Amino acid sequence: MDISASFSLCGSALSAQRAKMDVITSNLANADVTRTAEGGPYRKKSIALVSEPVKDNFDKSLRDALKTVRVAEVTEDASPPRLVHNPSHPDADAKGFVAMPNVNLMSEMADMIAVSRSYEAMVTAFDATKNMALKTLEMGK
Amino acid sequence: MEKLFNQTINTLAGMVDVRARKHRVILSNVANIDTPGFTAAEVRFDNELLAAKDVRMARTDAKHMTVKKDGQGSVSYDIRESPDQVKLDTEMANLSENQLLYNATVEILARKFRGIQAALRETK
Repeated sequence: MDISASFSLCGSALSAQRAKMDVITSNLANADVTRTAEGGPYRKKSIALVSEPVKDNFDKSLRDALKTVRVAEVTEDASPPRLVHNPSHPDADAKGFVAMPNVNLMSEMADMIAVSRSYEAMVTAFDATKNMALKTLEMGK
Repeated sequence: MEKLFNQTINTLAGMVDVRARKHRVILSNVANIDTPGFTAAEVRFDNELLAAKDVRMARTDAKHMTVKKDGQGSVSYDIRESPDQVKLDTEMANLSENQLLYNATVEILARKFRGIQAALRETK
């Protein structure tokens, strides 16, 4: 059993899910930010994952089936900002509307739960790999 | 007399190897659960294993030599691309089943070795 390939597969998935979680956290943290370096309100970020064949020079039998994960790109949601009527806000326009970030709190929370479950699944898989490796090492006892 | 490292050990070793491969395929499926367009791969070998017990070349003539069953130690399997997306619950069930059977096979193999060890120690 090529343990290092299994562990690197688990590692790639865990770091991809963590990156996803970071982006969701950033969206939630900036849900009320109306000023950014680029000007205008914060824009919701989305992350896309892509799979890559495992780089394994020794074992070619599973080459096509094994795919690691990595972050392909982080994109900005182009949908228009949410306009909220709040004339007392310092960033309100002449009509009293403030452009708020296009972050939907509900969908971010739902995404967060999904990511958290995927992460848990991968941790379980990692644990299984570790147990199998340990069991193999104990064979000689 | 039976050989010291007989066919059982070879079959078990082949089995451990295939279980490890299956484990890696399941890992890859779970890892790509959020990758768009990824379709699950699955390892199938149980039926082939059952069939492998009786693999021998047909003797159509009395002068044909009998073929020694060499292929029995290796367990054949094939990897299929399933048309569906990854189903997390199925994959996790496969993962624990495969882990259990892997551990069981390793345990049987270890006992086999312990048996040989015990037999060797008796000569002291």
